[in-house]
Amino acid sequence: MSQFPEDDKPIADFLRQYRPTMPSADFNLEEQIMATIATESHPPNRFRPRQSQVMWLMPPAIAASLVAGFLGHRMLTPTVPATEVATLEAFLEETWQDTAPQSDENWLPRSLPVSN
Amino acid sequence: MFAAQTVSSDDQPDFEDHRLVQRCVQGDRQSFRILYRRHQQRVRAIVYQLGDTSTVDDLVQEVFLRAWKGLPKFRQTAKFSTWLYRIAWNVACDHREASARKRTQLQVLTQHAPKSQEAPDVLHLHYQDLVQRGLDSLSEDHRSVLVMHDLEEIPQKDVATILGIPVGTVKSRLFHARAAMRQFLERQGVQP
Repeated sequence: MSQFPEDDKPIADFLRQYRPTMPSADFNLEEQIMATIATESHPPNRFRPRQSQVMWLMPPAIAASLVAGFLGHRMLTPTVPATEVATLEAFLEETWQDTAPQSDENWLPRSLPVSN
Repeated sequence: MFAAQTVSSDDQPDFEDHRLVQRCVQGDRQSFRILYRRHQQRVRAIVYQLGDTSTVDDLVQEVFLRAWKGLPKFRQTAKFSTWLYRIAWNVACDHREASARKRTQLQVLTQHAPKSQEAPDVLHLHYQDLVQRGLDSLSEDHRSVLVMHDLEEIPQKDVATILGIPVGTVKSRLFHARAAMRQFLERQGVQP
């Protein structure tokens, strides 16, 4: 036996009799809805790939992006001509000589005992 | 021996719905128009009584747009009407939470107790407003089952499917919703 009474006719009848009156629909509502769904360029499930149909594309896409990244790195890394390298080395040597002290003795610690 | 495809008169509307749904999925928009005409009245009633009453047309449009987009996911073993009313319920509840409640002139009018000398149409309006306010006073769970079962006369089994709850829970909520509604009406001096 059910714990709850199946029907409470008086209250249900009262609610049905005095249910709020709905405003009437816009006369153009049906056409608006049809126009909206027409903007969907295709029927709902035609041409729209399911998730399982998309999943098989993932491994090739990952592999392709790795290859593209590797090649891009190789191609975009700048290469310096040999003449520019030689000029750069000469410049470094010249500027280094200007900054280093002329005599090594200046670099000796003053407290070091002088051997006989 | 009966053929497996025999359809009883009770199942005829569902069978017709399924036929129309299959055509929709194949891209036949006119079949969707027929589905709209078959169900728009009840969808309209559900979103009106559960959702934001000021934007019924917008809500109805949203329900059918969601239905059109969701047709590929619709399981052909399910009842289309139940599935559609579930969408309507979702749309209505979403908008109800978001919408502000507005006091209408009618509500101001019904703050006063009804008088016996009031014209019958005013009394009818008063009772309508009481029902509206009574529904507003219910929790979302109670209001949903009361609207679907008592006002829209959707069978309990279908209400259970729409709300995703057991039939026993529908019975329980219906019992408590009616009791709450009866109490509300009695406080307003109405004895249904």
